[in-house]
Amino acid sequence: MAGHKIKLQSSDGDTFDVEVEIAKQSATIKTMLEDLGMDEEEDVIPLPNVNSAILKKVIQWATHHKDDPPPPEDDENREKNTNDISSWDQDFLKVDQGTLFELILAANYLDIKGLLDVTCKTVANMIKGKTPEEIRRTFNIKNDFTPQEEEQIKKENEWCEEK
Amino acid sequence: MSLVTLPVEIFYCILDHLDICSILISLRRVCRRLHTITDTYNRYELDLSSIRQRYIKLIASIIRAENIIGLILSNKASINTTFDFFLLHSDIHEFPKLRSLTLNKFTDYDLDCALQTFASCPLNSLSIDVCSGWHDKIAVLVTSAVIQFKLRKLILKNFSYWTQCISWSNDCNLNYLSLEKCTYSQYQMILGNLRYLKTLVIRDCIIDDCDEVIFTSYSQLLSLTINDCHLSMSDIEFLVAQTPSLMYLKICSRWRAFDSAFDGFSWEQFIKINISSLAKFVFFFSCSLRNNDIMGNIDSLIDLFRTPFWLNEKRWFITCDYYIQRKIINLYTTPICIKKVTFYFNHSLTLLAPASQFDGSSHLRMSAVYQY
Repeated sequence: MAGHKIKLQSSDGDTFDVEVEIAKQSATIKTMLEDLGMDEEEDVIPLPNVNSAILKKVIQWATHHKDDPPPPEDDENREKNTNDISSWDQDFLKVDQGTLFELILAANYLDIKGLLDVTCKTVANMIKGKTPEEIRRTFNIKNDFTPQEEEQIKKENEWCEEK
Repeated sequence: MSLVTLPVEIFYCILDHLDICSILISLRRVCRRLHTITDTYNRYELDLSSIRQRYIKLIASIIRAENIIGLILSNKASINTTFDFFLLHSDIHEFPKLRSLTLNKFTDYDLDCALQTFASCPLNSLSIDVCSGWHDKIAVLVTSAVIQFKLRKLILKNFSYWTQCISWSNDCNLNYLSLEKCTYSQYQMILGNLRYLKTLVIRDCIIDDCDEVIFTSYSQLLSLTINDCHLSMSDIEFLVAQTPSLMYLKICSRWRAFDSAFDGFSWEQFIKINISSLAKFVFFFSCSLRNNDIMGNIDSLIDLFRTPFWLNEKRWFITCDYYIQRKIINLYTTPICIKKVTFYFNHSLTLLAPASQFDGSSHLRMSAVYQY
């Protein structure tokens, strides 16, 4: 049975009806609902930092993960493991880089720890094992070091090459 | 939006998932902005047990002591040499922000030296893997470190029964404790004294007939993991019922008899009555049977894990493997929670109760897969 719903409004004016329990995966929205007493179905929560396309993706992610146990409150027991992304999340994040970064920003703004973790892990996996030049090519980054800085980096390189 | 235009605090979240070489050897040399970000990132975990020596020299020269929050040292690669080599090529004399220290393959002597070296650090997490030494001395060092650093997390590897030598003062701030085997009386002592303990991870708990069995409730514990035990269902129920606030429970047990650990209805009743806040239940139960009589009843066995409680309310999905020739039955939550299952049998029967086979309208479809 469908639960109680609220309306979320994107930066470009689109409104989405979302079950409260799904929306509450966002700590930002949860706080708004609890602190401001916005529990009427007519109330609209404006999300000026998230556009319609990204908000739709965020709702899709939150809907799929609605039954996940709550993430641990502290980060002390976190391990650096980026190989534990579920196959559903991997498919979900097969998007262009712009969308991926927008999702990271939205997860951070909405304070959705699980989505922030999985998107950051995905970017980390795109960096791992690559040389600086490969990273530049992957993310279309320009090498803007000055000749002096390049020289310094070369010296550092030489240290690494020493036996 | 591109990688280099992400706000710094977001970039730090990405760096949290990268090892120090990826950050300081590769990412730092990409462009000026990333160079600056990697200089100011202040959550470095330095694993000197795995970094090649030629990189240690470079990392030592560029990393700032105040940006290091975690350090991993290993004696197997002559820690003193590696650590001294690191210090020799850096300006670091102390680690003012070091919160987590991991010491692998340490002797009692090494442990003593290390704890003195890092005595002034604001450690809250300590992991020790002991390879040899006087047990009493190590226990004294650990007891003293827990109090001295006001540790919140302690992991003891290769510590066995003699963890009884450790004094668990009720002044401890520990909220995470990981041990190997412990006896029931130690289990009681730990939970009785560590009033802030939220997570307990043990490999096995030994309950002897001679143990003085006193039922006590330890409501502070939220997460319990017993990784590789040989406990009957009645022992499991006895242990778990003492921790009524559990939200996470993981048990891997190989018991000699087929008991109610394989009974979904018993579990359902037990959880509802004793640990009703449980949000995640992960298990692997295995036992060896005398005959193949159970084979005809596996359908009804798995049916008890296909109730609305398991599938709708908790969404815990169970698989049962039965090995016909060896008469071994394994029952576990999916995905499987143990690293290695020995599949050395020729014939097996697997019954699944996965989400994909439940159509959400209270209609269940059963699936049986024979593997040859």
